[in-house]
Amino acid sequence: MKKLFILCAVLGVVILLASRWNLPAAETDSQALLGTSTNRTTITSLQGDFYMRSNVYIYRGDVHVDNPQMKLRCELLVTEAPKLPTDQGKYDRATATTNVVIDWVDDKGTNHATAEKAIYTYTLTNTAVAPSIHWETNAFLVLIGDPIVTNVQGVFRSDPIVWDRINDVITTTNFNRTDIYQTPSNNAAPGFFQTAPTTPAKKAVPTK
Amino acid sequence: MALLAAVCFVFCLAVAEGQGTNQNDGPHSTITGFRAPLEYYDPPYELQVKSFLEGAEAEPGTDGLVFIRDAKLLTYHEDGSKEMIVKAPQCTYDTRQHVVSSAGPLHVQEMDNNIQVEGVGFYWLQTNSYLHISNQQQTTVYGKLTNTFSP
Repeated sequence: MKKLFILCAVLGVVILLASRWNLPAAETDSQALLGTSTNRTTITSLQGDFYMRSNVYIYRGDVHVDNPQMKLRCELLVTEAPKLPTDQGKYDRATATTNVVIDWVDDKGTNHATAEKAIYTYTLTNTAVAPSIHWETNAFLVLIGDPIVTNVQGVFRSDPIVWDRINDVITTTNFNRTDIYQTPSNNAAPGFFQTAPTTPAKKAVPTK
Repeated sequence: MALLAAVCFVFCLAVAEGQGTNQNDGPHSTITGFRAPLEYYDPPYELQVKSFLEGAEAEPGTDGLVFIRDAKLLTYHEDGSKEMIVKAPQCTYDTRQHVVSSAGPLHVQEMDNNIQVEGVGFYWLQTNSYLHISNQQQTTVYGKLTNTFSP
């Protein structure tokens, strides 16, 4: 049960990722997302399985994760936080599956992402030879299954979308399409950019 | 160790029955102040209880079942500190299968990180510390979220 906190930590990472990755959500969610912070996160689902010995927690059916800064929807959420000796680092993973929808806010607005699966992995590894200690941190968020990320800057499509949170680098091996909206800061040739819709589409149709 | 826990459980059941207010004679006697250790840690923490079940009232049934009202299931760390508390208005403890279950609501309080879990209908398997909530699961985490991991 204690390790449920790991899930929250993972979700916290998602929030922090959102603060760096300027990609927004549907306008209709903005007010709810920007509501007063209560420092409370709720995870609701139809069922829950808590394997306390192995620290694996499974939420099944209509899973909602709600936080003042972030909302996650999916059908299956699995969090894994194996118990490791404190001197051996950490390995945590959260996997959201089936109709994944993530809305979050950052300093530039709301962000919206959809995918069939979202996997967040966090590792903390001692790369030095004992008795020396040198911790290396890796944190990746991977969106797969027609992921689409929408914000005020545009609509981003590729599969997968790999987000290296530590280095704040987004990569993909299968770029699909990006629509960039014209803004005062990227005013290129007239007509080069699309015009941003007044109401960003909540779920764009992927192009094949 | 499992045998010790079983002996303790039976002993506590007998003591509670002896001290309780028996409304009726026979197998459906009501026991008040039910308290029983379910499991202990392995050596070197063999004296530390791992899980503990108590209730305002308990009624022994057939096939090793005990029906408990206002039940409270407590689990502990190896150092004796509380790990979590599960409360349920009513539940059944299967002494043979080492299972606590109920079709009613439950409330779980995780002590270390101020996490609460609620739901309706649960199944707790003692042998591998597995908790299944079958309906209306809701986990609430209080406090500011963080991603500051450090060993």
